[in-house]
Amino acid sequence: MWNIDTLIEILAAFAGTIGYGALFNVRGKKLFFAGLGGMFGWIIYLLLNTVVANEIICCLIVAVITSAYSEILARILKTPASTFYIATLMPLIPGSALYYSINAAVIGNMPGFIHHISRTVQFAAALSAGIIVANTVARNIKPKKIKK
Amino acid sequence: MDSKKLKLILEIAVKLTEVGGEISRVEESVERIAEAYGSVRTDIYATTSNVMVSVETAEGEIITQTRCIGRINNNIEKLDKVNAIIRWVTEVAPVEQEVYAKLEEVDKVKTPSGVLELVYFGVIASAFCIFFGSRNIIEIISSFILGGVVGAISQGLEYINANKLLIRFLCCGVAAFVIRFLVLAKLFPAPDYITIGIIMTLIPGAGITNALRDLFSGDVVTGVLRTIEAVLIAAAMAIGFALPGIIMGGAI
Repeated sequence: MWNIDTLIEILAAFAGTIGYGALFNVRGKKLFFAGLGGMFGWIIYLLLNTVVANEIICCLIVAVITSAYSEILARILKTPASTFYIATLMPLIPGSALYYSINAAVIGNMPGFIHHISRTVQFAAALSAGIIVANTVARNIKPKKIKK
Repeated sequence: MDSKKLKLILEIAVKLTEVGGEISRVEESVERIAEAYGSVRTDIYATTSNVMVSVETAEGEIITQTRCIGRINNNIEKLDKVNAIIRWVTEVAPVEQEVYAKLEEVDKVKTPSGVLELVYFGVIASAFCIFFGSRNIIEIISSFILGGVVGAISQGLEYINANKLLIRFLCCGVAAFVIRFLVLAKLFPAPDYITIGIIMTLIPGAGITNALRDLFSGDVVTGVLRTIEAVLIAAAMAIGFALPGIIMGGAI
C-alpha cells in the first residue's frame, strides 16, 4: 500500500492542515507542529487501517492520539490547546462522506443517502469521542489550584 | 477590588471569548484574576453571547457587571496573547492602565491580509482535493482558484456583516454552479474531489471542536449553542451545494 500515491496523500494532509491553521492565524513554530500533527495523525490512520478494518474505530483511535498530541504540545509551548486542536483534526473531518450524502440526496437515492449520512455521523461521533477522551483526561491531570 | 477593576476583568473576559477561547477557560480566568485583585468570592456565568460577574470585595460590598459579547472570530495568535496577559495579570495584579495598554496591543496583532487569506483558502481547497483522491492537475489548479474565489465571496459578505449561514449558503451555491460548468466544459471528469475540497474550506471544523470541548467540560449551554450553530452551518452548505442539482436537474 505504500506507494507514491500514499505519499502524495500524506503530504496533502500536511499542506491542508497547515493551510487551515494559517487561516486561523496560527504562526511559526506552532503552525509547523500543527501540520506535523495532522500529517502523523493520517500516517497512523493509514497504518491502523491495514490492521483494523473498521474505519470508524481507526478514526476514534487517531482522534484520541492527535488530541493527546495537541494537549501535550499546548502544555510544552504554553499556549491554549485550541492552537493545535483546530488544525490537526482536519484530515479526519468527514468532508467526503458529507459530499456523497448530499449527492445521494439530490439525485433522490434514499438508501445511498442513509448509508452516507450515517457514515458522516459515525465519523463525526468517533472524532468527538476522541476529543472528549483526551480533553477529559487533560482536564483532570491539571495541577490543582492551591486553596488558601 | 472595585468596580473599575471589575470592568477590566469583564474587558478581558469579553476579549478572550471573542478571539475564540473556550468558556471554561473564560470562567476560570475571571475567577483567577478576581482573586488576584482581592475578591473574596467570585461568581461568573458566561456564554458565547453574554458574560456576567459578581464579586465580593474584602469590605463585604458586592459588585455585579454584565457585558455582551460581539462576533466571535477564532484567531489563535490573539488567543495566545490574551492568554499570556491573563497569566501575567494573575501573577502580578498590575494597575488597570497597564493591562488596558496590553489589551490594545492584542487588537494590533496582525491578521493574515485579505489576499494572503485567499491563498490559504486556495491551499486548503487544493490540498484536500488531492487528499481525497484527485490526481488531475487541471482539477487541482481549478480547486485552488475556486477556493480563492469562495474565500473572496466569504470575505466580502463578512465585510457587510451578513449572516453566517447566508455566507456559507451563497459560497457553496456559487461554487457548485462553477463546478458544474467546469465539468460540462469537460475540464475534468467528475465534480467529486473539487467539491470536497471546497467543502473542507468552509466546514465548521473549529466550531464543532470548540463546541464539543465546551459541551463536555460542563458548559452545556454554550456547548449546545455552538453545536447547533455548527450543524446549521453544515446544513446551509449542503443546501448550497444541492442548489444546481435542484434547479438544473441531475446530481451535484
